[in-house]
Amino acid sequence: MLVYADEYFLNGSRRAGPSGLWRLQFRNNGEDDHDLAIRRPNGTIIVNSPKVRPAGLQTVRVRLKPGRYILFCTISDHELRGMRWTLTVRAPTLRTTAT
Amino acid sequence: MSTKKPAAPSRVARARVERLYWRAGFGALPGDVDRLARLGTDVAVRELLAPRGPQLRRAPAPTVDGRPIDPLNEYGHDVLWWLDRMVRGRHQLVERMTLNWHDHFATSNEKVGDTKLMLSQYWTIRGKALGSFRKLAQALLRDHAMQRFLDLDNSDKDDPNENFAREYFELFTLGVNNGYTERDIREAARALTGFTFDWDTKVFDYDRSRHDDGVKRIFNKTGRFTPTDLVNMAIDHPKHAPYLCKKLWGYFTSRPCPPATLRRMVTAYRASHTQIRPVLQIILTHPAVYASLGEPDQVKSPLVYTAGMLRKTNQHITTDSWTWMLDDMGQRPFYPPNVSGWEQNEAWLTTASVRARYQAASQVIRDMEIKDGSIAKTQTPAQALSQAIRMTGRPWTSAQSRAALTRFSRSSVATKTNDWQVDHYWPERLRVLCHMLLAGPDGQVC
Repeated sequence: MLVYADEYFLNGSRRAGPSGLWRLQFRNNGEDDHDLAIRRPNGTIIVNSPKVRPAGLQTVRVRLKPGRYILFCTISDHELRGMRWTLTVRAPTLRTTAT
Repeated sequence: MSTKKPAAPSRVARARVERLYWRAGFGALPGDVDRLARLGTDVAVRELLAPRGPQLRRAPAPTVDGRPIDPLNEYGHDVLWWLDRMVRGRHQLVERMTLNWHDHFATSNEKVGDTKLMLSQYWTIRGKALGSFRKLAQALLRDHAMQRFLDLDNSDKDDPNENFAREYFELFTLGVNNGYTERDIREAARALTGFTFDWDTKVFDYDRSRHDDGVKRIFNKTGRFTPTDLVNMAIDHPKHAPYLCKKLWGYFTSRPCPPATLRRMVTAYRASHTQIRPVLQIILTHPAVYASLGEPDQVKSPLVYTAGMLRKTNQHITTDSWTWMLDDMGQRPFYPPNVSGWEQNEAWLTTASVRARYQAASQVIRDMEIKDGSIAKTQTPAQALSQAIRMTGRPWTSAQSRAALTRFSRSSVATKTNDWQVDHYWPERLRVLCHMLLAGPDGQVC
């Protein structure tokens, strides 16, 4: 899955997908530093990428169980300003890796 | 029934076809050159203008690490996706004009941040690449990637954004300071209000209540102009047709456009109600496109260079290295540097970009898999050069380069006569000859 970041939005290439190992490529199109974090429905952050500079690309690998996740930028008030994306992970399928 | 083989076309006839396909496409396939050379360039132009059949050749689809590419979900695969369409595309002029329009209506995913919208814009442009400019411009007014790129989405009557209006006059239809005023831009921005984009739902729309339906004055005309009106008004402006025809001319030849030819193009464009085909027909059959066949004067853009090498050597995309190499060469599709598009011709050649071109040719040679031990000891220097020319799709080679390559072909193996040396150095000679044909100065121009 590809996630673009800019001031102040996140745009993911998928809204949903199967549970299993996910590879997320995070591209910073903006002028400020951003990062990518994933929050479980219960509020736990399960992964947080390093800060990504403008024009930088970072790959995040994470195993996701079925549920609804929030992808967001943890820096300052970026999430409040709109840098969030909802991802729904469905029950297991034969395919174990999503991109 | 005669079984006589058709006579080989003349060298000039072949050179004209090669020139046409480099300028109007991404290089002729080696198997097509003789056929088209026998028919002549007028027929070849007709075929280019009215292509039939499937869009892509039967050839392997692009892969990376053995897996199909995924342009929506993998960073950089959008570039491979478009490059592949240039390489495997059968409708070469359509593909080339799609790239030209992408340069003209430059939109970058650097700001759009949505590959799906960019691919959608590709299809919008491709579908209208040779047809009506008016329809193309109207479609791009409503294109979501364009709306986001030039801030047309959410341009509201209370705060009209001037970006699209300014670029629409300055770059897309009229040219810089060519028949409009700052007031026209401000008024046009009012006419263009009403498009919306919801960041949460990602839905684009048009909201009449956010459109400024007041009276505007644009090009000395007064009315309650809408976005559709505004697009049409610039296309109907007397300065539009000469501007656009001249711009189109510049995509195919770096020579100045003769005034009489410009008048002919403008007449054809207006008489056909802004159709692009008649204008392209005039350009592609004009002697200027075929001038100095023995001394090409247009620098291949990185995409033309890369797609051309892959076409000429009958290769397909098996690595994502092309994305980075095109970036280093200075032309990454879907990522033009700014709204003016790419600078053309000599601007493509810098010390950094020439090095990247050299590396791109190395990638092609690597994939040709000229193996050690594959060349017979009896191969003469002349045969080695002929083989390299064949393997690289018979590229144009100047007399000076041919002489230098002949010298190299002789000297590079002169003292290498042991069996192990023949096994290694003779294929190496062929690799270097192929590389110099593709990456040398002659390979950069068309």
